[in-house]
Amino acid sequence: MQLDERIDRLTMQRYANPKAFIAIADRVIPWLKVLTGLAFVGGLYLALFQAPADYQQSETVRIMFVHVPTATMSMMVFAIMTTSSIVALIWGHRVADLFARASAPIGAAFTFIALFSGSFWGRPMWGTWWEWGDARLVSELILLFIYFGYMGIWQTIDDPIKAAKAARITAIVGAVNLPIIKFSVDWWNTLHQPASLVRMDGPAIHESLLWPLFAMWAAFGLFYVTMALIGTKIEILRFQSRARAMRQTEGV
Amino acid sequence: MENLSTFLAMDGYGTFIWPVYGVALTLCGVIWIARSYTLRSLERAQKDEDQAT
Repeated sequence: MQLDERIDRLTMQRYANPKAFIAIADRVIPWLKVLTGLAFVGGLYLALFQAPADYQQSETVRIMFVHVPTATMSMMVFAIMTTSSIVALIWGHRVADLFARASAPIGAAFTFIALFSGSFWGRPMWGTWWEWGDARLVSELILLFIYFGYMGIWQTIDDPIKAAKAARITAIVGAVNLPIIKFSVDWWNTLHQPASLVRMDGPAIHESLLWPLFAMWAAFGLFYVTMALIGTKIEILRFQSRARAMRQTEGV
Repeated sequence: MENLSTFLAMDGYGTFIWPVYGVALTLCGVIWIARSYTLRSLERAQKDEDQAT
């Protein structure tokens, strides 16, 4: 492999070319749409019809199949946005900026669903819809506001270069909240239960509940990838259309 | 019919479970439809522009 090609791969420069990105996206999006649809159908079937009721939580355990995947995805999407912003900052990768921008509404939707489902799970299990003293709940709510702030930057700053710079900083600084969300249940006494999946001694969830959970995880994960690729393509086309309009008005 | 109402009742927790699934699927559906529609209209506009030039 040539040195230039190795550098290209390492820095992902080949994907910095919008044309190359669109060519790849066009090839994978139809397949991803089908896979996402199938994953949702399978996941919902397992979650609603196959998974047994929990001996303690009864049928409310089914809320877990929406709550846990969306809560983890809300953090994962923000981590991807931060990584994209760092890539854009170091290598001036424009598509990385647009990918982060396209990811934000999906991450915000996941965060909202996680908070909503958590509230609807908390009411029958804890006896409350919301607890301000719970660090996990509050830090997740802060994540939603960070998403709103990030999207607001792109909407309010007219100059796309300045908007991209401000958005990158927001994504990088906002990432400080991610370990706080993750470890809040270990660092503080919270109403929220401690980690039950990613643990040193293995998951504390029975296998019959794990498969529906993984299926729903796959569905939300595929949904994110599909929508982020479509969103990035939309941003690239908008950018190209704006550039064309500017060239026409300048008579170039 | 009785089976369906038993299933929907979810052991008395249906009022907590169904809104969660409803909101999650509606939000994902809205994002899916909005993005697909926007992409299609942008692609159509680009094709028209290409034909015009």
